[in-house]
Formats: sequence, structure tokens, C-alpha cells
Amino acid sequence: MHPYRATSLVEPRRPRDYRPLFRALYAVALLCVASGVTSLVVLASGCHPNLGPVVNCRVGSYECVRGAPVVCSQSQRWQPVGNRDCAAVGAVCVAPTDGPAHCARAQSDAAAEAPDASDGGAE
Amino acid sequence: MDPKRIEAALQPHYPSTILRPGDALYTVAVGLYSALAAAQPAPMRAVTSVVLSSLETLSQRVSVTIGSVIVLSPAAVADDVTHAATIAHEMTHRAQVERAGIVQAAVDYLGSGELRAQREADASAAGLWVRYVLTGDLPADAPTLGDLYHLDAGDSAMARQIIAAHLATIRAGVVPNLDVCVVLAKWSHAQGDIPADVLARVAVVP
Repeated sequence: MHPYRATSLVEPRRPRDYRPLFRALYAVALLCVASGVTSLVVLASGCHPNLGPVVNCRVGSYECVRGAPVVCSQSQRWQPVGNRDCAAVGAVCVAPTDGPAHCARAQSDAAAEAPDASDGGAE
Repeated sequence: MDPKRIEAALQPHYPSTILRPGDALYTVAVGLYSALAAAQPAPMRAVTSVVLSSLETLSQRVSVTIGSVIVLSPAAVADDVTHAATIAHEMTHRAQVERAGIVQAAVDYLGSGELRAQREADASAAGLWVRYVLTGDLPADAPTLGDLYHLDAGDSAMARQIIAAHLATIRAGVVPNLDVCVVLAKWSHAQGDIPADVLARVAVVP
């Protein structure tokens, strides 16, 4: 019999290809190392949170600063409400005594809040 | 409204890759994040636990933004309104990264509970505004952020105050003074097919 004739039609099982798995594990390991190194570099480079100055405001109080509402944090810094001033949304900042500072329509709401309305307020 | 339209409106301003459950890369991203969480050396966990602990539960209910990649959880896409609100929330984080730069944004978020509270409060307000625009529903009181963000009582209270201020702005008929909300308000008025009742809840911005 010819030797090739004896070959089975069913192909022998190929060894499993683990290369994609190894690549994925390598990528994960690389990501972990990179993130760790990045974190250490960030910490060591002197980067610090951009908290703003302590202004000794009354914790929990509201104000309008540069036309936008702010609230006094527990570290007595003004923290912004939003990231634009009220003018960017066609409004003015108001700081009523009986509620939170907010952006209000220039003519109606601000007039209603008149005694405490402020568009430039505390710095 | 189809949440993907909201995404499309924001993409030109804040280019992002948004991954949803079912996307081919979603499983890869969740797998990588889980591996990253598990592989952090102990000293690093104190710094990164805020993000990584949420990443570990990512597959359940938490959506995250890291740089320009936004991974939405199954809970976030459960219905169209939640989906749209979550996109606004996460895109607000994307805008925060854009403003501060990725390194400073990460340092601010991970290094200060106060700044983390501020960032999350603004993002939550953006989500609440989108929900309000789409449904007319606005919570009577500012919600608390919960313990997901590892905030102490003082920072948590400040976050609630910031959300309360945004709610007051919305009740005054004004768009919240947030980049993402401004973009969406302008976009809404430029479309011709937004339902009248929805559009009526979006003030015109200059």
C-alpha cells in the first residue's frame, strides 16, 4: 500500500495556540506596571490637588464669586457650583438668604432676590 | 430621545470612546480594569481605591470615565432616560479632564475628597438636568452621592449643597452653568425634531 493511502482523513489535533492568551496577559501586565509607574511619578513629581486658597468663609455658606455660585467647603475654601459663570447661560448669580446661590434669569428672578442678589460678590 | 443622539451632540466637543455592555471591547475593558485593580500594590490602593474599587464593581452598576474612555454599566443603559443622563454625567467628567488636563484631573480627583465631591456633584447635576429635560422630573431635595466616592461627612454635605444650587438654577428656568449642559442646550434648539414639551424645558443660552 502506498504510504499516503494509509493517512487518516481526520486530521490529528493541533496543539492549542496560546499566543493570543500570552499577548493578552502581557498587555495586562504592561498596563499594571505602566499605571503603577505613572501613579508614582505623579505622586513624586509634586503634583498636588488644585484646591484654591483658604478664605476662612463660613462652612456651608453660599456666595456669588465672579458671577458664579460658590459654596464654602469644610476647609473654608470656596468651591464652585458649575464650571461656567451664570452669564454663560444667559443668567446672573443670586445668593438668597433662604436658599442656595444659583443662576437666575437676569430680569425676573434676580429682581425677586433683590436684597441679596450679587453678581460679583465676595472674592 | 435616543441617547446616541445626545452622545453624537457631545462627541465633537468632547471626543470620547463610549463602551456599552455588548460591545466587543467592553468585556476587554472590564477585564483589564479588574486585573488592574487586583494587581495594584498595597500602598497604591490607598491612592487609587476610589477609582479602582468602583472598577471592580463596574460590571454591575457603575459607569466610569478614565481619560477619554467611558465605560457604561448595564444599569446605566437600562432605559433611554438613564442612558442619556449617564452620558451627560460621564461627559461632564470628560469635560473636567479636558479643562484641567488628564494628570491634574487625576490628582484632583484622587488626591482630594473635597475636589472629588465637587466634580461628582457637578456631574450628578448634569445627569439630573438631562433627566429633567426628558421627563420633567426633578427631585425635591438634592440627593446624596452615597459612599461610592469615599467622601467624608463634610465633603458629602458640600456635594449635596452644590447639587442643591444646581437644582435651584433648574427650577429658575435656567440651564445649569456646566459646559456639557450648555452644549446640549444649544444643540437642542438647533434641531428641528425635538418634541415641544422637551424643548420647553431647555432655556435658550447665548
